[in-house]
Amino acid sequence: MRDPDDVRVLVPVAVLAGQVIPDQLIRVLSGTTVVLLAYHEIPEQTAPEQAREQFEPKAREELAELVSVFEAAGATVETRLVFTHDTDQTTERIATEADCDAVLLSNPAPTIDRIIVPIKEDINLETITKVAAAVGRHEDIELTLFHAVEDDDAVSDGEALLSEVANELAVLGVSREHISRVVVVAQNPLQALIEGAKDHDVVVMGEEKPTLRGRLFGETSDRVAEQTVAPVLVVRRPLDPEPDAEDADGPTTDGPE
Amino acid sequence: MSDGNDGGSVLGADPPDDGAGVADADPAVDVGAAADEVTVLESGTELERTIDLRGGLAIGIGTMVGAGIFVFPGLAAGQAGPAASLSFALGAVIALLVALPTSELATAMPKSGGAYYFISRGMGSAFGAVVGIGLWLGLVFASAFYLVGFAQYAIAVLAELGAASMVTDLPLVAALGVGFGLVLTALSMFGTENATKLQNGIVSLLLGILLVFLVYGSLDTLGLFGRQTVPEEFMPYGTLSIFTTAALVFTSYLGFAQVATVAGEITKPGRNLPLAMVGSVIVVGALYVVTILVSTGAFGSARLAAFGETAIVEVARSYLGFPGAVAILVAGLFATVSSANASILSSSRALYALSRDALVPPQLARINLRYGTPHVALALVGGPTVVLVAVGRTEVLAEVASFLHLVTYGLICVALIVLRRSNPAWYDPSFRVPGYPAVPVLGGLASFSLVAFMQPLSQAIGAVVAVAALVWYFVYARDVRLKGVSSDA
Repeated sequence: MRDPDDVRVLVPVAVLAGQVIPDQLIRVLSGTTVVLLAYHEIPEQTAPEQAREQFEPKAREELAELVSVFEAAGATVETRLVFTHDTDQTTERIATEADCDAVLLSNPAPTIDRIIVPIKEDINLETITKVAAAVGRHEDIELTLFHAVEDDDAVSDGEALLSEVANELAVLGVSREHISRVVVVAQNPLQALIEGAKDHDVVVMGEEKPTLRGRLFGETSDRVAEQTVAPVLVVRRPLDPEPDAEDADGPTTDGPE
Repeated sequence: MSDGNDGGSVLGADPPDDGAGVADADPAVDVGAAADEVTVLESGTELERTIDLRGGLAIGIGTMVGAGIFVFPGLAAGQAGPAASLSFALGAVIALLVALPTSELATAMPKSGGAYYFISRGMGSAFGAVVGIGLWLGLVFASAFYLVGFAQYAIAVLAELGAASMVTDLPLVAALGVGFGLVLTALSMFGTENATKLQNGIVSLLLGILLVFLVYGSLDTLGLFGRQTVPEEFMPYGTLSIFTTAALVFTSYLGFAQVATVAGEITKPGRNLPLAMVGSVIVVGALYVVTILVSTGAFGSARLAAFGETAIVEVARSYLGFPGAVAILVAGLFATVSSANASILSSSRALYALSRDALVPPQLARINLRYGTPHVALALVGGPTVVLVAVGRTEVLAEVASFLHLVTYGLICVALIVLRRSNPAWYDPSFRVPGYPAVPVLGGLASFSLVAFMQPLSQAIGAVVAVAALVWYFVYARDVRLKGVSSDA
């Protein structure tokens, strides 16, 4: 059984497309267990085994190099190498099988000094706090806890929520001087977050329940990653118990073997 | 975790459990353990399974539906009269008799290459070579046949738009077919857009259009809306015509086995492979039979035959007026394109499987570095296809395609019997054929005997291809030994 304090982060890398994980990001993740998912997406005209035969040695080589960089920074590394037609499906499956707390959406990060952590009371607070603590424990990193409310009356509730989270982070070893709290009043919480994230280098946020809006316009976390151009650590929500009748097409809740 | 390989044994003896992991159990060159959503190879590398049941059904139905409804009703009615519906029903029964053994083999060996893979593992590399090359060229003939059908529909659209003077211009059929064949080949070589969702959507749309048309047509034929059906003898051309017509229209059922060519990419293979194969045969079989009854009810078989490949458009016009004709024209364009496209992709999978086993040069399976597609294999499918489109006649293309597939189907049934009898340790299908040995024996006999009812020209071309494949094997690949093939089989 895994150590409950261990934080596991899935880092997907398009291994043959020359995708680079920034050094700064590797440093921030050094206190976690990194599940390195090297994937190669192929068009449907090609059988995955066919691509595997041609590209596996090269992919293995690149993967080994990445592993050594992460290990040099002090992270514990596990690896997976997958040939797939559908990267999203693969990421979801591996995140579930490898029991990851968060998935990295990588973006360039020249320096990492400030990390913003948007908090909503209904999203998976405990794991977000745990992941935020794991990346915020470094001496030179500032954490901003961020909460958006709709009107002035809710501000005090928001402040109470953030101070609760701040206390929890302190218990987990983040020094209090490094934690700041922001409560904003905004009609559009997503826009407010994107504004607030402007002077930050990394976003740690909870994954939301899939919604119709999410399906049409992209999940909130994807949109944040797109608009802030910062790396986003998406903290996964606990899996819903899935009805069996519907499991034909959906991701399974089965654990790894 | 429920594994794709742990299904219960319904019939037959349990294979001896020697405690070997699933990874050692398979005779493949690239051994791997097949789970629900992924194949894990010995090196730890994973191959994601991304085609679900809907995708599998879309491949099966999408490949088949193009021919039976949109090309054959006129031709078949001309040969057998209303009894052509029996020919289609007979075809469906034969297809089912083969689909069941194919399902069992596919769940035991969920790998790329489908029929080639089963037969080479069950019966050795010489049979494998004949089937693999037969599958490749069979699909080439089938693609050419679908493209000719497409061209007929494109011309019918032109006619509808008022360019009727061009309709009798035969070279136009070839030009349109060749042109579109080149476009499809180029798209498959250089296109990186995900076409699966599009294909699923097209198949759903097609089924929707057909359902409306056939339900209305059936009710109308039964006299509910006061229509007088054309009175006609059910079997104007005798009993034998039912069988020869079945041999002709069997091309409409080449498609269920294409699901097996992507067996390595299907999720939950133990469940989804049989469901997709058997399900798609039942769906299209029902559609075909009803289509013939509705069509002959509208016009009588002689007039229907005069309409040729696009007869169904006139049928739709007679029931639902101009909008009906337009809907069926659009459906016909989509259906023939989706059939051609699916066949081209399956064919390149067959070539890959051959080259993986060194039965053809390895260069054929090379993947284009820029586009990630097997461009050599795709060119070797698209090239011959457009040549055939340019020179071929619809009936001959259809029958040669059927010939080559029927030989394969017959051998699939034989391979099943061989594997059940020799029962190697790795053979552990999660789906087992009900009614063994009757089903595979009947399936094999029916497949081989349908060949006997074809036109002599089609039989000759088919035989030449099969013999050429055998010659190729003895010249190029006679030393190939496939790992895991039992020598006593």
